[in-house]
Amino acid sequence: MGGVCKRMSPRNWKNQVLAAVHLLQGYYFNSKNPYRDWPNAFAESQENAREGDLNAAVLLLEAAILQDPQDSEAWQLLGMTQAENENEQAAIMSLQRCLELRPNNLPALMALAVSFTNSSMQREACDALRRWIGHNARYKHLAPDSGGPLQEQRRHDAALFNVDFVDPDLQTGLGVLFNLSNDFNKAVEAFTAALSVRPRDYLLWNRLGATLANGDRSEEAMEAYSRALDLQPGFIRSRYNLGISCINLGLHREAVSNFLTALNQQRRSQRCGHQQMSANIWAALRIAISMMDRPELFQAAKAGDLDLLTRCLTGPSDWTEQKQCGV
Amino acid sequence: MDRLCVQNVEFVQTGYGKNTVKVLVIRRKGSQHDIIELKADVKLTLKSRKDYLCGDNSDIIPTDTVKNTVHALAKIREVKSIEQFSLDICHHFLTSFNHVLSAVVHMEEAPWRRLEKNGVEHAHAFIYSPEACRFCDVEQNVNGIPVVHSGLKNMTVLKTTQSGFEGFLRDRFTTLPEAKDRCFCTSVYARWRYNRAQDVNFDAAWKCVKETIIEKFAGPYDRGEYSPSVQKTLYDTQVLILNRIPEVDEIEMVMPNKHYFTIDMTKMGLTNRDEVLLPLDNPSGNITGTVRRKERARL
Repeated sequence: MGGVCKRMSPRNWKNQVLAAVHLLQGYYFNSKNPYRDWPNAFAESQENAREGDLNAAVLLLEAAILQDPQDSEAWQLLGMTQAENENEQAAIMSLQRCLELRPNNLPALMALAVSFTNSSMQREACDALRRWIGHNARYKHLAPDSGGPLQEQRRHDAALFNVDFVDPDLQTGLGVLFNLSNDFNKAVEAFTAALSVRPRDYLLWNRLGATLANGDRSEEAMEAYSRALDLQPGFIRSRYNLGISCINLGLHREAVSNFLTALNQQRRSQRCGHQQMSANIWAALRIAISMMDRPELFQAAKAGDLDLLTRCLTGPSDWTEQKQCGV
Repeated sequence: MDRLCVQNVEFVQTGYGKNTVKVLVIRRKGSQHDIIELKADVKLTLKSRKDYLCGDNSDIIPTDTVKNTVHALAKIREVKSIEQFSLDICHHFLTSFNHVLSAVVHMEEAPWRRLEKNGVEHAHAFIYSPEACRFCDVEQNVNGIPVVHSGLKNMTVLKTTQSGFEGFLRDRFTTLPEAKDRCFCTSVYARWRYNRAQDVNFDAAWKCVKETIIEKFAGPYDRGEYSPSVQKTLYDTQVLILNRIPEVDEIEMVMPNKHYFTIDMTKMGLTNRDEVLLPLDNPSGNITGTVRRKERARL
């Protein structure tokens, strides 16, 4: 499909290829993008992201990229926004594309390391962190030899800890590294240090929360997620994580409520159906509902009927209204 | 009277399609031929139920057409794996029509193995090698993302030692003696779910699952690995699979315990030291378990 794109003249490209090409460099673009031809797509995407409308931000960034596929910064922001929007695969594709265009993009490298860590791809995560250190003017003298195993990487931790000022980016890298090796308490220290410099960074609050959660400190995790969501109510990933912690604490109804909020936020943004919603959140929602022992709701979850689920589970707990929700 | 009955009835589910659609696909790369033979069950659920209710067939895509579609898609789409082909079939039915609510495909692959001698592979001859049956299930709702399950079944393995069963509960109906050393034979069934449908190497994943099951069952080749119960071996296998394949979120395994009993020959004046055993078809033990990856919070 990329080959077809290159043979066409620029005039034809916009008209025909935009309609036909929904797959570019491994990234699947939304087929119904209302912002496709908007002139200030990039700038508007940032505004939407700030206001918490991640879905609109994603569509605007995709539009910007379709207009200029070589825009490495747009690919970087698309990747980071997709991660916040709980779409890990899309995030990884975008960040990798960004790094093909600009291999020394530090935020992209860190974001990629995070995404690989979330996907349990240890080797790839370490590799991204190594590249981050190697391209970072401040720390590249500490860069370990490429290809070394995880333990080698850890040996450099001592050197990195001796830095006397707190660099939140470095602390984030350490936090990610400690997550990879399941050293959750050390990871918590690293993210807490980063937060001391950037207390309003909602991404950091979520990273702290996720680390606490994976370290079985679910109640503290929920506090961290709440801080993140206070700062950015549209932060889909954090709301997903909050739902996961609810499941871990046996609060199934609250978990379902959080997942439904996230899905509704994603859908409200653009009425494009399931393409806009995160598969992870649907999977987690199904698990939470399966623990509630309400088979009719499980069927609705399997069929993807968000309206029915929202009506039944976030309305008042009126018995007659609940009865209507049975199949 | 009839109308009263209809008013008391509501739908639970509907679906129709064609089962056991078989094709053999040959890909010729010069003199080297690759084959894949498969068997597909395709089931569609339509939005309207007027076919069931009123006998109005205008929405029905005939099952004969479903069969033809599988044939045609085998020609049009490259059949790389049964999972990918199943995804293509679902995608076709959900995007070519606007009245199909869901598509479900179950597919099995015929176990053809290319002939090989002394490391040299035959260009175009194969032998049927049913060591394990490979199958998959793909399900997709309209506007939803597809859910892919892969599986293997009828993989029968046996080991003559390194298996025991002791310390179990005894009640007044228990007659089974404890065993420190017994034969363990099972016919493995495993079915697992992927957490995504794109960018998955289905062939590699299936091979990894098959090899992991055998590895955990047999243990090191010189001395094996002791199995205190089918349950333990089953669980250890599942955990190892989840560790090795990050794309797999959940796995179900069923391992029957196909019993072999030492034949008592004392009445014939012979001492049978677990040398001659009786394979017992039925009844057989049946051990099951499903595990899934715990949802991790995301950084």
